[in-house]
Amino acid sequence: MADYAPVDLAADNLVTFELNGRTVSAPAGTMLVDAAYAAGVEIPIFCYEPRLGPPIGACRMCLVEIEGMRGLQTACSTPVTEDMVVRTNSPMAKDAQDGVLEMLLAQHPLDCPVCDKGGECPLQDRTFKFGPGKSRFIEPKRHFPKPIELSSRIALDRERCISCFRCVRFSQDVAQDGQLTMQERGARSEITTFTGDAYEARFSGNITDICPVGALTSIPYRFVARPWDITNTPSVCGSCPVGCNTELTTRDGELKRITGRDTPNVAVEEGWLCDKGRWGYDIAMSPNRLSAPVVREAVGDRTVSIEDGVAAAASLLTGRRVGILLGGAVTLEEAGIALDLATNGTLDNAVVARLGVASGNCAPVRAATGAQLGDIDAADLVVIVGGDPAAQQPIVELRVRKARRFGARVIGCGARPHALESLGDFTRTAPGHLADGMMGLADAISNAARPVVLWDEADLASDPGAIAALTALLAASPHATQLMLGADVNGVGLSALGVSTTGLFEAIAADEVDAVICVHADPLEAAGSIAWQAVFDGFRGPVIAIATYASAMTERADLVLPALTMWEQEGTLVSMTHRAQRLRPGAAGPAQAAAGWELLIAIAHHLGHPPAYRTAASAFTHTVASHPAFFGMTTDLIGTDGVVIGAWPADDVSPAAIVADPDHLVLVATRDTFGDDMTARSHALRTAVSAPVLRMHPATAQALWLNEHDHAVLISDVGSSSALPVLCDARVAEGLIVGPLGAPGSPIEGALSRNQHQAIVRVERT
Amino acid sequence: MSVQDQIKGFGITFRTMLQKPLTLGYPEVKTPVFPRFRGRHQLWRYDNGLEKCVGCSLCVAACPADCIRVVAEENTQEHRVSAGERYARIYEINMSRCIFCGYCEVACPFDAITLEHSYELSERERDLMVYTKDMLLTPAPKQPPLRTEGQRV
Amino acid sequence: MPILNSVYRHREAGHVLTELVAYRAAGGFAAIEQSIGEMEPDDLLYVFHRSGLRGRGGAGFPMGRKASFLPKDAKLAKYVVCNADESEPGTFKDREIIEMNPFQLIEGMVLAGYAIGADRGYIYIRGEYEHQARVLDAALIAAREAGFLGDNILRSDFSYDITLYRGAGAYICGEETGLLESLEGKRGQPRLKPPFPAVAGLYSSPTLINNVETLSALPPIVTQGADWYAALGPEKSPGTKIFSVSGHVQRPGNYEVVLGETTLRELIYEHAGGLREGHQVKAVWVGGSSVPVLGAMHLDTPLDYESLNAAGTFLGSGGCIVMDDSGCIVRATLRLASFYRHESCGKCTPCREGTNWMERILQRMVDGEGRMEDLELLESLFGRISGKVLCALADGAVAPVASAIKMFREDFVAAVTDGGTPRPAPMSVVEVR
Repeated sequence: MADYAPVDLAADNLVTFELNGRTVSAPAGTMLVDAAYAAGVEIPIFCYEPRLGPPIGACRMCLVEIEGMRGLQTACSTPVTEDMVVRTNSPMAKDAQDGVLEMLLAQHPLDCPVCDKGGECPLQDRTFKFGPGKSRFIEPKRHFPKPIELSSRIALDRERCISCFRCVRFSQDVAQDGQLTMQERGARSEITTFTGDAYEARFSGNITDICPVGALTSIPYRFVARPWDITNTPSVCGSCPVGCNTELTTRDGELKRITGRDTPNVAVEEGWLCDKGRWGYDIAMSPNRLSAPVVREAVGDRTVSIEDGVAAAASLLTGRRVGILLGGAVTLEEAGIALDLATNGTLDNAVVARLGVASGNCAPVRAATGAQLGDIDAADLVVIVGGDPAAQQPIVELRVRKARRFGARVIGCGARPHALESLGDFTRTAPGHLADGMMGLADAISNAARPVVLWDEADLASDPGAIAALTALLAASPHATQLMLGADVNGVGLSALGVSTTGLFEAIAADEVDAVICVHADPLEAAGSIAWQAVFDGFRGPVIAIATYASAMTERADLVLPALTMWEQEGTLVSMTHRAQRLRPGAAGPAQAAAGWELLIAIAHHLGHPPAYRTAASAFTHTVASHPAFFGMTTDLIGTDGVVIGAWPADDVSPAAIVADPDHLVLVATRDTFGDDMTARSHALRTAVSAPVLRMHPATAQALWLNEHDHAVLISDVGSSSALPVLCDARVAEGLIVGPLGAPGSPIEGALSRNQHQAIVRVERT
Repeated sequence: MSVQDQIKGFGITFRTMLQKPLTLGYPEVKTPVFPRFRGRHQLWRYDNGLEKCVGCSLCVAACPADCIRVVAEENTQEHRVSAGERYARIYEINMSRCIFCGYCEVACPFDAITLEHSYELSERERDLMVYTKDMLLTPAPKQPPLRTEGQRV
Repeated sequence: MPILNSVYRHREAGHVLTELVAYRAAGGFAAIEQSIGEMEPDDLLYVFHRSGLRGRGGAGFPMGRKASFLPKDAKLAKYVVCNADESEPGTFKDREIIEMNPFQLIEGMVLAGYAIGADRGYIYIRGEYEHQARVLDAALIAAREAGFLGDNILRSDFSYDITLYRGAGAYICGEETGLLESLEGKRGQPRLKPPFPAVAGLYSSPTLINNVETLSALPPIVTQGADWYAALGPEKSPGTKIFSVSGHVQRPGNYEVVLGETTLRELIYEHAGGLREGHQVKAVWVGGSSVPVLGAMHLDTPLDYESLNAAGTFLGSGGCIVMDDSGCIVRATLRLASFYRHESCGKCTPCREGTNWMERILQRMVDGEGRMEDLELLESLFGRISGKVLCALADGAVAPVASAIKMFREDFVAAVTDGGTPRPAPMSVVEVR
């Protein structure tokens, strides 16, 4: 259970104490509840939640008897000491448990049959286990209209609330959005937002996970299933490169819910999820989900069965020189099979490439000791170099805030303003001049005992000066560790497999390829879309799109094979912290769709070259055997928590350097997780979507004769963007325009070069 | 075996020969059942017409044969089906799996489901053995006669 | 027996001391002049310690010891916080100090600040004391202009200023950690202890937090010496204490007496002018409402910490509420229970639900729906509420109810059997709701 903190029984500062007559040990300073739980004694709790910070001792459920101390003590706030004598089951302690539970239930409506928490409710469980069995409270209970919408995604039933303050502490201390508060006093206390408005925050869903009663429940999951109707599958989120560990709830073959795991992965997300990872899955049911293969012919589109679709794909590929383009989120298995087909003679010498940021030139930085997200907790200095972690890798925000709560200093530099800048001292640098900002960080890093440097992959890759500066900084401070804020979901995994970002575009342009397969990749909506469009306009061969959602490419393709989403298929993703983790299916998906790896294997069979593997697991084994970064890795080793991959030879491709100068404007693209195409199509997240805008300094806007809300177009030497509204933000560096990557309709991708997140642009008002 | 034993044995035979036969002419004549007999299920409504079942699925949890399926939904102002916040949009019992143990009745917090006396549950197709909520809300058309304790058939 | 106006210097002077000149003329600021820059802070702290002064807010913790708990070598700023959230029912002693003699409080705070090496002082005054806040504000400005506050007080190295902060009306903000939360701008509710405020108080810095009366007692201690103060009254807890007498007495008001030298009877019958003609004392809550109730048989108890403890109650804040035999003890107890239900902050379960439950049961008794088992139910709740929570509010809520049921059980039994008819009729003390 996530309710109790893990206890390291192998630590060297163990103290021994007596618990209910037994002699047990735990590290000094461990809270008694955790030490007891590790020793197999459950002390009931409600308000205690180690992830929320220091205990507050509000619910009084964990009262225990400690010899030599007057009265009863709260075990959640009492650290264990040597020779302490604790009794959790003495008559005095039992009476206190009875008393607190009777009082907690006094005003509780006991409407378990209609409560979504029923069956997985800590209050229910602990009442059965520790409660008095019956109540003497005969007065009428308090009543509220039930439920009310705390937000469009969270239902609040105030009658059920036991005032444990967990949600308030999450909002105030963990997410620090400062929205939730307790209103009124005493028995009339109720949870509300400070302003009375909806609780709109990016991590709001976590309060439904930590609520120990049915007061805060998820609206999309309302009355959908009971704990005995469902199966839970541990999986991993593929919405961003962080790779948060999730649990998928399935009922009748459909995905009904995503939650953090009961046993959180402390090295990654610590059980917290962003709202997109939690509720974004409904796009798998959105209207533009592809559900059957489409063969595009001169007479019109023809929908066929998946078997016929695969056969059609094989016949389109037969005898042709093939190019395979992989998206940034394809799994190791899919990429491994693609590479295998290209080399084992199935698709003779196919060119395999990927979309995404190439950061081979960052290899010297990556060579320094790597950190996991969990290591940020213990850092005394967090350095953020470039990037926009709060928007691009949301869960990083909670980690940095936690480190700050523990007393770490937060510093950094970068061109883009972001939410974490309010936590410390940040210097604004011009694009391409990150090294200038880093000079000011050197002293702090070398003086810190445990500094962690977070650096943005895209920003550094196009700033060679910054790579050199950061490499030098890390080399000069022996304690420093680094952590990449990645750009692509499986960018690290694909790079470790040796899939390059170049080659295919050039091959198509040079007419060296006769057929193209796009696997979860849409070059027409990616950076450099205009260039890709031009290349595909001149391309006469067949294009096969293996995709989950309709997009520009599936409209253009000659054959569309519907694939499964990350919630429906098996696979392995490597997070930005080099952690290989497994996707496990939590839903069946459309009948006429199949996983990408399955489609590729089926095509190989049709081409007369049955590969040596039939399942995702055997494809994984086959793939890892031939790539040094994955040597020795097995699915067992990855388990549920993942494993960090080894080093791999650096990809020598690096993007062009983008350096700002006074005469030019630089566009830097930020993929706001809540502003992308996926969020826009989610019904559950409809109120969380951030609108696409061009953010720039007021002075920049003024120089361009632009007012706020004017629409403007960005023009670079490769193409132009669609018109987007201007938003003035004094925190943005002058001469910089921050644009939304991956927004609906991919507005700015046209102005970017292929695999670049930055471009030199000029601006035109429309 | 003595002669006495033989007389004893034949005595039973001859006594029984003189009694009326126990065989009933089913289906014209129905076997009467005791009041506590557990037969076909019925779902109940309150007097105001609202269903007692709130779709809590506790019967599903209790069912040892896994023959009940409940899919709940929220009542709205315009569409109020049950008295609680939620109601059972789907309530199905697969009668071919049911073992008539009555646990569902015991588990129900609202007395919404009871096992009644009807035992004539045969269909020509397996699919028809899945009884839907509408069927269960309607009492069985033919009720067997009741039998009191000690009453001979 | 005698009145000794040492904190109430204005009574000694015979007129209000809201003007700085008047206060100086009455001997004010002599303590500051005598100590700031002249004495080592530790020596001053030792003076407080030797005087034997105990906290006058209710808990009665020795002031000098509390101040000595502050870490000497802390790198963080230190604060003195004055608890002027005088919310205890029946207590109005601090109001008179602030209203009539504000400079003595300011002087006391400067002395305390000097003794512990504080960087700043805060006065947390209850929201309802609007006039008092104005008086205090004016006094602070005057003291600052005269050089008793601000940078380099009396040209010494000691710089110290006081900020006045008005509360928003919550009883729980009189609890020291609840007050600190409120002062920090948060919801006023007690903190988990330890750490105690002396180690991690306001903004997690070492904080000395004392009541108005305690701090106002410091200047006379400095000028007249710790020995003088220690010699007043009983040896273990000497000094003077202000009792606020209210209820069925002829002359309600504040009376500053030497501890142990006055009995409850003298306080009620001599200082407060006795009861109305023809009435007898029925019940006395001697230390505010959060203490066990006393009856007529306790009238000869001397007023000091130890004697009152021996009588089964506490000196508390000195808010002495007197009820004569025309009052209904069940209704009076209900009124107190309602107060605590209303003021429970809601953080700890036993207090939040328990105070509510007690009120509802008593309400039922008054409404004539009481059951005999309700008395046992109430008695079983007491142990499950008091001592099971973070702060003293729950204990304070239980004490008057538990003691009333113990001492006046027949009245509660009668409330059940008579269907809640007031005893005696007609009801004259408490109007319920």
